[in-house]
Amino acid sequence: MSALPSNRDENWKYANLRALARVRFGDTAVPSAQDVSTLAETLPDLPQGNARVVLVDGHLAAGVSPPTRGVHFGSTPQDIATLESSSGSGPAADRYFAMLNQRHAPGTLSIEVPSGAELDLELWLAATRVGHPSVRIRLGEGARLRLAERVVATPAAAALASNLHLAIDCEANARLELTRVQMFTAAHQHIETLDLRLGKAAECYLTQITSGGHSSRSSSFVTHSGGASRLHWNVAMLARQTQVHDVYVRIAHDANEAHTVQRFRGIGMERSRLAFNGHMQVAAGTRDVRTEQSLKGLLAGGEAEIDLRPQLEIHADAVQAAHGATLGKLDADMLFYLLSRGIPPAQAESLLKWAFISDVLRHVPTQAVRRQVEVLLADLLPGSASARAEVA
Amino acid sequence: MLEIKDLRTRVGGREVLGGLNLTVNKGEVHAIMGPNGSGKSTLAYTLAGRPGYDVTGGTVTYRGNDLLALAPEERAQEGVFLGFQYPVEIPGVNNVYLLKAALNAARKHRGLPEVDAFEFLTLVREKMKVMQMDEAFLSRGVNEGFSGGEKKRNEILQMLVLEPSLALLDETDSGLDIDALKVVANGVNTLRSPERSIVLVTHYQRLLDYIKPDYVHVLARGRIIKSGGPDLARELEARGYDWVIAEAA
Ligand SMILES: Nc1ncnc2c1ncn2[C@@H]1O[C@H](COP(=O)(O)OP(=O)(O)OP(=O)(O)O)[C@@H](O)[C@H]1O
Ligand SMILES: [Mg+2]
Repeated sequence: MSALPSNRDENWKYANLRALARVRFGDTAVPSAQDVSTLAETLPDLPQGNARVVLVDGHLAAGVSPPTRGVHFGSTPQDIATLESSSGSGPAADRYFAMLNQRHAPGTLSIEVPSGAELDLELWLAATRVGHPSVRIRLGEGARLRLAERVVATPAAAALASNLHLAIDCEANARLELTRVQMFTAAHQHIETLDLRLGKAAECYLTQITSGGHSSRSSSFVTHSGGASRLHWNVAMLARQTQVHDVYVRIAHDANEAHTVQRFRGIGMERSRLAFNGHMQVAAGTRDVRTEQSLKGLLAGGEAEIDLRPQLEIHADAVQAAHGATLGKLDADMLFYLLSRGIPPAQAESLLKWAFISDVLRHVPTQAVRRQVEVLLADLLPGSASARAEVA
Repeated sequence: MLEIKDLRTRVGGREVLGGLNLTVNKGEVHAIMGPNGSGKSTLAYTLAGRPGYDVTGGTVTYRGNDLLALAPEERAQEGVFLGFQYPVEIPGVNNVYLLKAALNAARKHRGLPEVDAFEFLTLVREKMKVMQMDEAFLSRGVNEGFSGGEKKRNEILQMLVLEPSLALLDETDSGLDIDALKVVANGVNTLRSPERSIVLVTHYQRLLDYIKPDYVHVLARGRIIKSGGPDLARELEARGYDWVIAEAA
């Protein structure tokens, strides 16, 4: 097994590895019944027709996960061993945490949506101490999955760490809407590895909102393998205090007419650090691949730092690639306009921050999900959205 | 309502307003005309409290209080409204949301509860009718992709919803087609009342055919150099500014 990555490793320059090195990522104990029931109480009501599954430190919380067809938690070695990278080439260090997960995960949650079937599922990843949640998802031909992933943690836990591995395989014409809302509590350190393979004409809409916590590192490896697949990858991150959020996304376009649209909006406040490294690969011999990449950072605090890194690695000729990265501050003219309408400064700033990430929210494909995300964000950007739902 | 005495404002390292005097009483409409670059927008921004417009001398009294001591948002909450010469686009902030937030900020300042959602929509719809604006504008981003004329209408819509005591309208007529000019003028006229005052900055006498001012002033080189009645605007239209500037020199 390779060693813990260091900041000298190509794709790990900005990760908060020093803090991670202090976490003891050993096997996780079964969470206490007390912790599970406390967490269960914080879960909102389950909307009609939706299914829910809750993992606590990687263990299935059966009591709050009603049985759902195609959803199964297995803890035999085979269940876990079937998880592997579907992604193209990259440095071994990139797989370190996935391997760690494979070694320590207490089991794997497997979600199978058979050909032609549809599923709406809430996936709650709860943390009480240190955990290795492992999730494998398979969408059969033409299957449809709407997955809302959320994190929740034991309030006031002293130190929380999670190392998630999420592996997703979409067969031809499958459609995945994955909405990830990660609002971490203060002491939480989160690491994740996401593997995604898109078969022929498969579609994936990923929307991710990340904020809070101590630090997070997200590594994603996507492969367009079947041709004519579409990927919408939208990420918004808000960081305050001394939080560090670091994202690396490698998207391999290995087949003709693969199409990726990637948007990142990061807001850095106070002394936080954000890094987004979007690495697009277009394989030799492919034709008519399209990639669009728009990375934007907003520095909203004196000492915040944001690093945006669009990377294009193109080995084919007939490619349409558009990419842009911009870093800026709150617009003084916009701010004054809002103040001149009587909006207090803190609310005006919240509104502009909201506006800044609205590009990402706008692309949540399901309206109901978008509403939910807006409501959650209202807590982070006070005064920005409380009245939004009523007037919209 | 508004009393400006010997106002001096520095912008970008130079004095743009150099001892400006102006008194606006309740219920009055004043028009301010003047050459490009003479300081008209600077006056409007100074009154609204725009950062970077540093007051180095003089006083501004608004309803008996020191206006310059207030933060920009407080001035607005106290009933000062600036209609921008170039309204900014704010993609991602909903137009109707801004209206509601602005109205609620003013209500909160007056100790009133937040506006009821239904009443608010009724109010906004009524004002949009006055401005002949399609309701589709409500759900768009603030001024986002609006044409020049649509932006100006939107400024007046905001004004009608907020019902300010003192409206400073900076070239609200520029960029408007003939019909839109009438709509905007009509919007402004509906606000006219013995309790409110309006200061219009304009380059064109035509607007003043629709909104009859009580006084017309010429602002040149950072000061009001001549004041008169509506006839002055007509004279300026015919003769330009040179003679006034020469007279004042
Ligand atoms: N931020 C700034 N930095 C430097 N100079 C400025 C700044 N803002 C305004 N000025 C200058 O101040 C002067 C007055 O500008 P202002 O916009 O007030 O003129 P105005 O009378 O409104 O003109 P117009 O009729 O063209 O709208 C101009 O010479 C302008 O260049
Ligand atoms: Mg001007």
